[in-house]
Amino acid sequence: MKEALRLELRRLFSSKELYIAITIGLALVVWLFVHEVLESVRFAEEYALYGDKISGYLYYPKTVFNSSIELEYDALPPILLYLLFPIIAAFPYAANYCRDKKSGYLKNLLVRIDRRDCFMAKYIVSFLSGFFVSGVILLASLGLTMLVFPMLIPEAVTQNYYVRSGNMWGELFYTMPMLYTLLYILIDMLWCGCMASFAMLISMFTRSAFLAVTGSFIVFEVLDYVLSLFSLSQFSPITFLRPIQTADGIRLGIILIEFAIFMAASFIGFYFLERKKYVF
Amino acid sequence: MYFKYDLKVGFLRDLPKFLILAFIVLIANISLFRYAELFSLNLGSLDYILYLTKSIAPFPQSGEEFRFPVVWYLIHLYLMWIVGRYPFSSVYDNHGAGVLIYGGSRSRWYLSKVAWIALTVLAYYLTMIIISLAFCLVAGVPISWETNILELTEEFSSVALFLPIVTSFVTGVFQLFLMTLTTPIISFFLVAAISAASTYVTSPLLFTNCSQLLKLSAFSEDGIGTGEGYLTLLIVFALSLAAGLIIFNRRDILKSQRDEE
Repeated sequence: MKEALRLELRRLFSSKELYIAITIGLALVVWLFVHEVLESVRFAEEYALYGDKISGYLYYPKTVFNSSIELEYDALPPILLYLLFPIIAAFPYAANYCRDKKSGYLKNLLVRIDRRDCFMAKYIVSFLSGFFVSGVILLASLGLTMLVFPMLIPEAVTQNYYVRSGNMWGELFYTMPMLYTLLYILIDMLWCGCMASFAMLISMFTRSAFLAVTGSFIVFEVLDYVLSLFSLSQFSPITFLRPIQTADGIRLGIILIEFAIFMAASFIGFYFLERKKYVF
Repeated sequence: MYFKYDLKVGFLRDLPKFLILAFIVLIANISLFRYAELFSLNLGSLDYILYLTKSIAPFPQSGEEFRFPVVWYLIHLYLMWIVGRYPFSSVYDNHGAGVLIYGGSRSRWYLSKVAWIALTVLAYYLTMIIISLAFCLVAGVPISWETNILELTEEFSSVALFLPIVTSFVTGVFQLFLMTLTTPIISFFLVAAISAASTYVTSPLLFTNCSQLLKLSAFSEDGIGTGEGYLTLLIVFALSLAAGLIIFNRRDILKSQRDEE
């Protein structure tokens, strides 16, 4: 098992797809960072001119908790990142299994490594790929923002924060915002791992790398679409992944139960069913 | 020869994928029907068709909170997914390379894919219209060619209604060009990102804006002009086609085949 895991991890970290996915995510992070810094500079200039009151509003500075990609609520990069997370998460590793089947590499692998170990290692590494990529992107954004913006405790009255006290962990956000942010990043990382694992389930049915990588994206988009049309967005992973909680009624229970369902479906499909398929 | 092959392998074999489109359209129709009943709106069949490509008004000029246009995005994205899946699916294996050699011309191969995109886009929109009309007949919605869901401005012209179809075709050709430059996965990713960005930013440069009716000046004060939209699409089409043809003609297929493995 260890050997199989080491082999798959080495393949993951030497694949260019991993670095492309991280680069795309970091590009969005830097884009948002530049946008936020420029906006802050503009605010500072207006503040120098007009003092405490700018355009009729009380001046409130940009902080870590409304400028990082997790918690910024009205800029384009976070919208893009969270919308495209299923594809970014699946991109580094999901195509590997299809390529292995297509090229015959899987056959070579299976004569050298135990079948159970091989499939278990692939499943674990697929989860880790999504977990790792999303973690790097989200933590980089938080770290980058912390370099420049102050860590002021959020004040709901300023209307500069999208999270409301009635939301999941709303109280926590207004008392210990860093803990809230880190916990939500952990949820996002787990879910991105889950999305990458789900792509392995899709790769059972195809030899096309395109379908394997984009399939889970389409599944999560269709799910989001159907749920949103029936005003059930709080059940959609694409919606509840955003720490600003754009839908009402998001609960930790919903997030964890759905996580367990998707993980179980992909694990049963990939480890128990796909493993028994004849490949030679 | 190439087009006949694309028609058989890329189009007819792919028809079952249109069932997912039918499902998406049906769900959107049901949702609009419920909404119309709830607010006692008098909607006709054209409203049900236009609703699918309506999207949202230019943001942030609309002064409202940004609400992502899920219906438009998914319909647009699913078409790009169908387009991204086929053209380069077999060219880097022995069978696909054999077909390319048998036809005798890379340019004709590429143009055949462009024709295949046009056919797919037409079939896609036809499916949307047929499903919506069938839903209207079953649900008792009057078949009429008047719209209550969109407000027409002074700049309205009926040619604006064809912009979503033309935009989808041009986006497909642009995606094909990106596929020659990168891979189908990266090109799909880029088109998905451009499309998502165009819901937020209204500019002719993000040409997928032209397939969102509420982003056009025919239906919205701050929208893109119809002529401006067609001109942008023509430029994108011409550049994508020319660049795609040049790159594909010079591409080392055997090297790409090895990279793919």
